[in-house]
Amino acid sequence: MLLIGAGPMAVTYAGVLKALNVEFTVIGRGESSASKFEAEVGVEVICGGLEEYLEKCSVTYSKAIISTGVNQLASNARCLIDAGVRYILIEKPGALNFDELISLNEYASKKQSRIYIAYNRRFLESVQCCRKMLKADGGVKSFHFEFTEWSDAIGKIGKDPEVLKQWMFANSTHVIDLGFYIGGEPESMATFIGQLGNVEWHPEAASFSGAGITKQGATFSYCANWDAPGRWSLEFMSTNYRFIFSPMEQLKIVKRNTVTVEEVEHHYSVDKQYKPGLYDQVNSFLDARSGLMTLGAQVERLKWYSAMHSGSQNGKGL
Amino acid sequence: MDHKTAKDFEKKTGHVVQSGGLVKFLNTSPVKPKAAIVCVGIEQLYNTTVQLLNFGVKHILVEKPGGLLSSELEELRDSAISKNAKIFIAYNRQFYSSVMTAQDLIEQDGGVTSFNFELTEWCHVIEKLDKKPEVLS
Repeated sequence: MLLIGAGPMAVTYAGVLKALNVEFTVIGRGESSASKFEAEVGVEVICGGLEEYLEKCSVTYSKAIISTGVNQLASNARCLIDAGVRYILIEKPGALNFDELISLNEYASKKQSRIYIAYNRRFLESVQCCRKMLKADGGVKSFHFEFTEWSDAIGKIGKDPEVLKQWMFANSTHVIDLGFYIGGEPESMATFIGQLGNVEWHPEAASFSGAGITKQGATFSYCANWDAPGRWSLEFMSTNYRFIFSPMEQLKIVKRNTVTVEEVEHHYSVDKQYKPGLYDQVNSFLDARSGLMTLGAQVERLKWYSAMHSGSQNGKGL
Repeated sequence: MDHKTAKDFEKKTGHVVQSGGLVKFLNTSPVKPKAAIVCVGIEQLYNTTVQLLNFGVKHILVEKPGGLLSSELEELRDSAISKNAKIFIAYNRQFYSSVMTAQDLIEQDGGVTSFNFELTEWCHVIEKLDKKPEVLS
């Protein structure tokens, strides 16, 4: 299979692929990241970019993982589709913006390639444990999540302004996706935005809040303030438990009739060895592909991301 | 107030309770108090406050939420305006030291920019309380 990209995230993918005894070819662009990758992983990187490699390549690959910067995700996916790759795991959120994502989905459907979005937090051991407990307790009744981003730190990491403009889509959807993955897809939602102009790199809004109900009838709410302290977190309520993800890698619960927050006993052995969630995500991609978000499902989500980013009809709901 | 409640009150506070209810007490034409605190069950908040307003009490602190129905609250508001009286709702948590400290800190930091709150109630505990259905609803 192909691994596209040679940056830090690609290094983590390579570690998992090696552990799974999967043979892979790494395609990178720059010499600098390639050298680092080779030093860390011990696998050669073919430099020069994907297009150049595919032009000369006589092998047809069936699978690929795209682990590049968000700006190159969609174009790399198109190259792979054109080269006949039928199964692609693409780093979240799948494209730089909504238009690119919709266009890529149409192209992939036409060419019968299946693309999956790499929301690795779906595969955290804490998440898998929670889902089992939720199922045993009758399912999610309500949930709440927060996707605060640290705007001071993000403003200094030198990201492309186009990526920063799409930051909720490019980064916060890690939390949003996990909320709806565990809690259920929204049926209706009212959304609000505030603090316009407070964050220099994202003047559209700095605070976000909203509430809704899922197709299964679970009520939910969310909040984020990118101009205040906070952290990513999620809480899911079932009849007998409150499940707390804060941090997301460790599952905590509160039992009914108590207020004590308890850690759920779990070794997290896989998530300690690899980037959390990545081992099971790659395993799923290579095998059954259950639990992975499809590109089509991501397109279906866009109307909710859009409402959360811009505020929907002054809170009248969608 | 029933006899037992009155006795318990007197024992705990050392203060004499005028038994028999507010109407009976007001019928004795007592000195008009400058202020009153209404601390009765939620079903009685409205009636008790109306009686005090009609007696001419101008400053009333009434237990939260001030009445059982929104129509009761609207009537109390209108009545207080017409009688030039002030009614305050006793949301004591507004006066927690923690809250007042937070308010000071918030003011120093330029004000609230967003907030989130949760009002989960323990239904399995509440259902065992001796509350009337109209209060529970």
